[in-house]
Amino acid sequence: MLSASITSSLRQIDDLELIEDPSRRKVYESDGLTAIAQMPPLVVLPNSLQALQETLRVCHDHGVPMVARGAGTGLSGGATPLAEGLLIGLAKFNRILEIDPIKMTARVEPGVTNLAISKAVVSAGLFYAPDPSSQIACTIGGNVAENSGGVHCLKYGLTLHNVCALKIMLADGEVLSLGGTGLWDDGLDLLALLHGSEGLLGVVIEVTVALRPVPEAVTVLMAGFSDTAAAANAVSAVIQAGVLPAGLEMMDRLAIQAAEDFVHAGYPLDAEALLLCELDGSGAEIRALTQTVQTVLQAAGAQSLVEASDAAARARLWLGRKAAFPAVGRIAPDYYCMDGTIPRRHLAEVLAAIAERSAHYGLPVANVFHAGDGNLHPLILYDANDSDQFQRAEAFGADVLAVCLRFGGTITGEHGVGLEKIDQMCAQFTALELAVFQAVKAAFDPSGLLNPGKAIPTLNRCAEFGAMHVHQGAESHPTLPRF
Amino acid sequence: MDQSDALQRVVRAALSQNQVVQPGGVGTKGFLHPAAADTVLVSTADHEGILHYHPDELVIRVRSGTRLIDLHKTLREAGQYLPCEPPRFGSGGTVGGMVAAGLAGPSRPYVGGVRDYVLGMRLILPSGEIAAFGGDVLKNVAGYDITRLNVGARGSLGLILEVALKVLPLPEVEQVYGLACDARLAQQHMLQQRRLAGLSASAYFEDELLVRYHGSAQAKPAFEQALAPGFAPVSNASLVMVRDLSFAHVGNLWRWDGAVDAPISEQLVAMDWGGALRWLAAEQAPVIAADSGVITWFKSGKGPLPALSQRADGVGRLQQRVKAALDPNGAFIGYPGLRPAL
Repeated sequence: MLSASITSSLRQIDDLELIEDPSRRKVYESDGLTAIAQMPPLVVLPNSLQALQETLRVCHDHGVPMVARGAGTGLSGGATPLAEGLLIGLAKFNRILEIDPIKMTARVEPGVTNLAISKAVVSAGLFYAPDPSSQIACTIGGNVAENSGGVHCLKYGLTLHNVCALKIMLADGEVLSLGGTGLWDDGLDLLALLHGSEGLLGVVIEVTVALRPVPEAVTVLMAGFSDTAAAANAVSAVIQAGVLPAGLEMMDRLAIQAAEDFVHAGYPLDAEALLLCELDGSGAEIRALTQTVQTVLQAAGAQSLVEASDAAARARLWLGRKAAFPAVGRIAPDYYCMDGTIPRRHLAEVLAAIAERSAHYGLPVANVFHAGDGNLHPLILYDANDSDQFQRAEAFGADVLAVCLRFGGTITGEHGVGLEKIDQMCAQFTALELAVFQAVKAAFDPSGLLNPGKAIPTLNRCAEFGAMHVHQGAESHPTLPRF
Repeated sequence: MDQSDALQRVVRAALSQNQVVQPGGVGTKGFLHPAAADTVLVSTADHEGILHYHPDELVIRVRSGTRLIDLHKTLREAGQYLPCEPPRFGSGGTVGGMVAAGLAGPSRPYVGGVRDYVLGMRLILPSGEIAAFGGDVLKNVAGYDITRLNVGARGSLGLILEVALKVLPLPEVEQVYGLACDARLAQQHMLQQRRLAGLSASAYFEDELLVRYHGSAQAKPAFEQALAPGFAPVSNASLVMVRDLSFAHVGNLWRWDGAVDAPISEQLVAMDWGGALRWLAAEQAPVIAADSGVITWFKSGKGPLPALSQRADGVGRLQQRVKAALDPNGAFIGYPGLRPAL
């Protein structure tokens, strides 16, 4: 509960909607990680920057912790409310402030959805490249907080690579502009630091994104393979051939079947692995590129090969991939989506380790993979109503992250740490490195009021978790089996 | 050869004697610190070598003393390159120096800067301890981005030991085109040509507008057709001079960073980044219209160093707080004050 004096101070603020009714507050009790829910004691929706600033000042003066939230599509519990904190919804900041077709930038408020940006600039022949699968709903402010990716990061980069400037509000209400008016700003690169900081350093209040010209031609190739190792080798071969696809995605048998049953994308049901390779560029070069990639895929052992060059056919092939999560959701009551990244050369070993863990826990797993950049999304199937299955799924997930670390990868490629992976942070980083993160946090938010308890564990928490520290593939007893 | 332990011993010895550490490589960019007196220079020059390179994963990890020319050669042999094309001030520049300086070449607006290609880092912290951040993978959001915070930090947050970089396939074709014109016409062309597919540089130097094509052989004719009349293929020599700032200049060299359509100043020596970066020569700091951009000192001329100061805005204060949090004893050299003193 928040004290009556805080609530009454917040009521004084103009342009601030308070949500106190429990049935309305319940909407905010979790983000996309629904397994962790916490009813917020109070939700506020500021409708002006001044209202937001006054809200932050009230909380700052009273020592009330705050969680800023966009659309709540995050998958790691970054926007899960606090039992004793204020939830600040930024959805009303949904205006596109300026589109500059010459400079190819758009200045937008944080609550604008990712897809809305591309829709607003398409008539100017431009698009915003990062496209997380939740792009229809997720907000650009949340994308900055998570440094979101998507299926086109291989060629076009993450959110970090596509944002020119930010305005942020610190916990005490101070407003700062990061990034300058040009392409370089003197001093430490705080603009980079804000990306992926999961709402712990500041509240994003304005984003200037870089736009790109819509490519003249796009084509998608779909290749089926009789085993996943061959598909992984095909990915390497495409890149070795000097081609940088716009997107390069892989799905395993269970994911293919679930997606095909759901949306009938025309996927090969006899394949053990499927690759989707999107190529873009000018009309003249796309034909040559397509031939090169077709030759490479055939040489790599593709059993089937389909080309989709018109928009409808491309959309159908992508539909299966983009609907893979809900498709898997149809074949099990619940699924748990993991997000490790690995050096791709270890893919076969990592998939074998995941299959072994799947057998161990008695829970099926479907693998969806941003193959070009090594970002793996194993979907663990379980039934949340069965508490034993739920616990097995969590243990399985933790094992998957440990496998990613063992092969020199990371516990999260694009979904963030949030609450979900906070214990695994103790395995990825040393106490010394965690202390560096804590020092950065203290420089931005000395009172520790912004989204406390997320993203960066305390050393005490790590001691309780008792994590074995596995760093850069080196562990204390490398010959012992760790499954 | 791995010099991590030796470098750590040198840093710790300096710390124990309360001497301020200034990380360096072979010293090609030492001029970037205008007033670096009373520091102990700790050089990574012997800490060189490629630790691993997997061309099909687009990732290379090198020791910080690795020479940029060796990096470029290794990548080129595998048909790849580092797209941010850092300037070369002499042949000895190191990867650590490139990262600490954070200077990107003419391709910056089209493919990104140095920080956009840095994935992970191992470094000696101001406490003398060794830590690692980021990793060898293209996507990684675990923890704050300490790696990229160190890019362009001028060695103020630690001594870089290893860097993991993202690299890309070499463009099939590279061709520079030149057009003789004055600066204002060059700016108009720059604004009109921003969307050209394959554009990878747009600079102005010595009365010539220079644009570069990177891409496939098939798409090159379309690029040429889209250029304004009068452009002709030229060698890349002038563009390399812009990249390496090989300007004969009188007075101090200042950089102006701002909006591509901002008015052109009298002291212009060269323009890069499609007009977003301009090099100005003047003894004293050029005066520009408020909010049109930012002026920072870059390099001394023959005359005296001008009066410079730290940035004094809210961002500057926060940058100082971050430095103080990560180096509470001021054990490492501070980020230089580059703003003209008021």
